[in-house]
Amino acid sequence: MADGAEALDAVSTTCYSAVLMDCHMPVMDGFEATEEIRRRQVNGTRIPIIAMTAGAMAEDRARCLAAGMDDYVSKTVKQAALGDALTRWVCPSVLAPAQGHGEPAEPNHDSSVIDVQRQSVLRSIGPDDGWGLLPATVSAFLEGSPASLAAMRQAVATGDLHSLRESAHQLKGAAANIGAPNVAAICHQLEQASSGPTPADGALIDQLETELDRATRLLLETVPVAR
Amino acid sequence: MRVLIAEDDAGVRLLARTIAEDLGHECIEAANGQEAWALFTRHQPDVVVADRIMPPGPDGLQLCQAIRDFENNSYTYIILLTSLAAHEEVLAGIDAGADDYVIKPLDPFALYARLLVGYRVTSLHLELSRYRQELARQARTDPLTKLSNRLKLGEDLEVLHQRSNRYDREYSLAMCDIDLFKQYNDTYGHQAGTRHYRPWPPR
Repeated sequence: MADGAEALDAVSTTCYSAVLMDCHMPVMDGFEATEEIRRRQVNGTRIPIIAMTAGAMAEDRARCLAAGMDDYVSKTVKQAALGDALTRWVCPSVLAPAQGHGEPAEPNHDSSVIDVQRQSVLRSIGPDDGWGLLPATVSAFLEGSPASLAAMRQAVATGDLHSLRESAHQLKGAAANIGAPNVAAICHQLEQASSGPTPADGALIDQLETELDRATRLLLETVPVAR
Repeated sequence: MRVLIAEDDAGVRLLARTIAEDLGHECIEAANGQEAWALFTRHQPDVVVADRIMPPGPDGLQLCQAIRDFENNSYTYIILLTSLAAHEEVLAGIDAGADDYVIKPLDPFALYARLLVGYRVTSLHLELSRYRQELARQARTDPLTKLSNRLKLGEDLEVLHQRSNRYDREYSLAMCDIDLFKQYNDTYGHQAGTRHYRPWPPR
């Protein structure tokens, strides 16, 4: 949404798990929009609103909370900070639809960790239970990814660029298939680095592990996977 | 039709399999190039969906090439899975013998549509190869006596001769003829002569 008024419309017509609110927008700013959302939601569930503020000043934050926002991250938005804020405010039970109770709800979370659009593609084919192929493909991913990561760590340690490239390519494909863009992106970097003049170091692998953990956690929370 | 899915990621394989089976096709799966080639030679599938990179064994391009070298009367429709829209990679794949390509992450609908085309193309090739065989048979058979004709005789003699050279064995030829048949034709007419022809040996 490009401004506060649009955000207000969106929130009143669609059920979101959280709102990321810029404070300074044309037409209606974040503070006004938040106050209005809170006014309308008197009897409904309270939607978490997370401010994205340019200033890291204490008074900015106070103003956000006063307007009815729940949390804030400072701009430029760091992935980890945003992830933490979302984890704090978006309750996993909201994300995870109850199993075996009709049509599962659309999970809604950070799209760079898990791409919901890709997941809905996987849900659109296969078994006719609303989940489609998603659980089976997620399960295949969770089964294969630790071995790929271990192989890459091993390859970096021994300087085996060929194996690194192969494993990175493999995990990249698997992550893209399941809709884990961050994991796929780091794998792509590793794949590129292993063909270039500056081979990858352990730091990138650590980063990959963090992202893989994050994606794995979200997948386990949101998809009914038999383990 | 029979579809071979050669792809190293189990999730992608499952996705591709589901799409092919939704279309009513039989599926066989390979997790690497080595398995893919073994399954191909054993089952000779109509369509191959091959990943670009799937160690160990031949990669997607080498697999395309090997399949094209292997087939004689049949045609295999090959769809290459490429991880990114790298133009050179796609062109190299088509040059190696691929018919089409799908970009990963695999879009189910894209593969679905391509499998429809694959079915049409392989059906046409099958029909074509049946016509070709029938035409070859007709070109080598005399329509009246149903005996092999002069063209077939030439080919058979060639084979026979080469085989005898190779295994160092002798062969003999017997020539059969009908004596005085020209006289019969001259007396009773060619149509009467034709009526007396029967396929021989009797079938």
